[in-house]
Amino acid sequence: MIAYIDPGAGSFALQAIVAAVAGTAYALRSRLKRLRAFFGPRRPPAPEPARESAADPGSVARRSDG
Amino acid sequence: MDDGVLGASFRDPSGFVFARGGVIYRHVARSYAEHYDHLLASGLYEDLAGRGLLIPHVEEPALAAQAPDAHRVLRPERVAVVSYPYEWCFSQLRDAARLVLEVQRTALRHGMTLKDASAYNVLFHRGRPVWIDTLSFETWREGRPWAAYRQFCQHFLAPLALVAHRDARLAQLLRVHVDGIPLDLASALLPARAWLDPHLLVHLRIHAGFQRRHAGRAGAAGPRRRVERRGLEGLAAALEAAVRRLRWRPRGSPWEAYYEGNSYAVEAAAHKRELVSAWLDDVRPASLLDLGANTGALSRLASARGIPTLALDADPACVDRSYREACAAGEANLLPLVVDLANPSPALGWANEERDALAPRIGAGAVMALALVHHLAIGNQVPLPRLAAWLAALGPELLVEFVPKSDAKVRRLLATREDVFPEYTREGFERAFDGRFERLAALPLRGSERVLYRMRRLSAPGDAAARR
Repeated sequence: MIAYIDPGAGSFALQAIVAAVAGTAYALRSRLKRLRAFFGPRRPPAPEPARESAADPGSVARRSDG
Repeated sequence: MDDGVLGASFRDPSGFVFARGGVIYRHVARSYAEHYDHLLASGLYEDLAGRGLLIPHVEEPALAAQAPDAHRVLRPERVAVVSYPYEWCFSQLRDAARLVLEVQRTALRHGMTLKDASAYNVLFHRGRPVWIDTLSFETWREGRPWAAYRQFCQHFLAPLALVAHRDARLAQLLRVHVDGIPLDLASALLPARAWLDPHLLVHLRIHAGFQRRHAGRAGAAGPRRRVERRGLEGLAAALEAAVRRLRWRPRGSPWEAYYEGNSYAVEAAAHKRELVSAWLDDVRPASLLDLGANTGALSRLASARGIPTLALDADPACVDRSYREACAAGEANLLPLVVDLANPSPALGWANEERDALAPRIGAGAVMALALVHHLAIGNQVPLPRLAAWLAALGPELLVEFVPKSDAKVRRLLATREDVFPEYTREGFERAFDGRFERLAALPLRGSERVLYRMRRLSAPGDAAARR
């Protein structure tokens, strides 16, 4: 029986839920960031110390403080 | 390396990897043409390769013309050493996980997605993890979920969580489970406090529960689940947060502090560095294999000279520290790996051809075995002639340290064992190695009774080919 299980079905089902929640949160966060940038005090953009931005090309491999 | 299709690439209908004349090529099938063309036209290839996240390649039109079913033939940049996730320390696996997520997020920005998230598609190249499978990218179709979500959790999140929350040795489960650690197994092994992390709770435990519940309905999976692009971006960001939160602080490893304190005389340590440096400058090997490298203090004498160096040690804490130091210093020539030399990685997977055994992957121009022989000969009871034969197979030049029975380290090994090693003497050691090596020099280590031997393998047929 075990051999005929398709473990992908459960993963897809969970993913649909997680993606809906995480996607909304992600969109809200980026919108909030844009709003802050628009209304916030004019200053040079901070280098985002709180979020270790993975968009920084070097960060993936070089930052291995863990 | 034999010519022909390599054993690891048979699953992918988009193409395969083959070797010709010692060079690795990637065959791109016509069926994959749309995706490959999009990878280049969308700018995704340039974006990833430019940032060192994807292995760069050149197209080989002449070879493609010879293969009627080929859309393209690619020659990827050569990666010196093939390593597998069960040979990586925690920080290496964590960096590889973050690489995969960054590749996926970048792909999404270019209208593509990763169709798999296999840890075997990541290699360490010039000190950093790099995605090597150019054919893993698929044009994203509206509403399609991320097919590799489960695989990412099994290959990366589960082993990382097990090491961070339970025990570093559990990373070895990757060796048993060829497609990553099953999520129900990971959930059963993780302590309750792991579930305080909501990411692990969702992606591992609840994920395992969903798999169980949907298992019976495999045939009728229900309506296709739609996932918006925003959702995929959110999912990748959530997984990135999950990985980033996982930390492993090794404690109580006796090996990590091996060079500190008074474990052996400062004078002997300094002299050993001198002897290794002089040997490296004389031999000037094209590559070095350091066996029992600990945190890589001596391996770095080679890598700092620009010699690609593979530093193997059985202790994950030592390897983790060595890797973190290498990252911090931007060392491109040093690759530390977790390997138990008494039980090295075997050939694994379908027909034992998907993952190669350790030995054929690690051969080098020179081999260094310092403070190692007594562990294998006494600790693991390997007869010295076998040890010599094994070392001879790994490289033509050898620097090997003999640690006599009178040494404190060996005395400690013998304290709890019956001394069944009458051959373990300096003379016995030399006799055992004389059949395989020419002894070039015997250098007594100041402040100790140890001896470092410079040796050169006695030439055998086909030796020149092996010298790299």
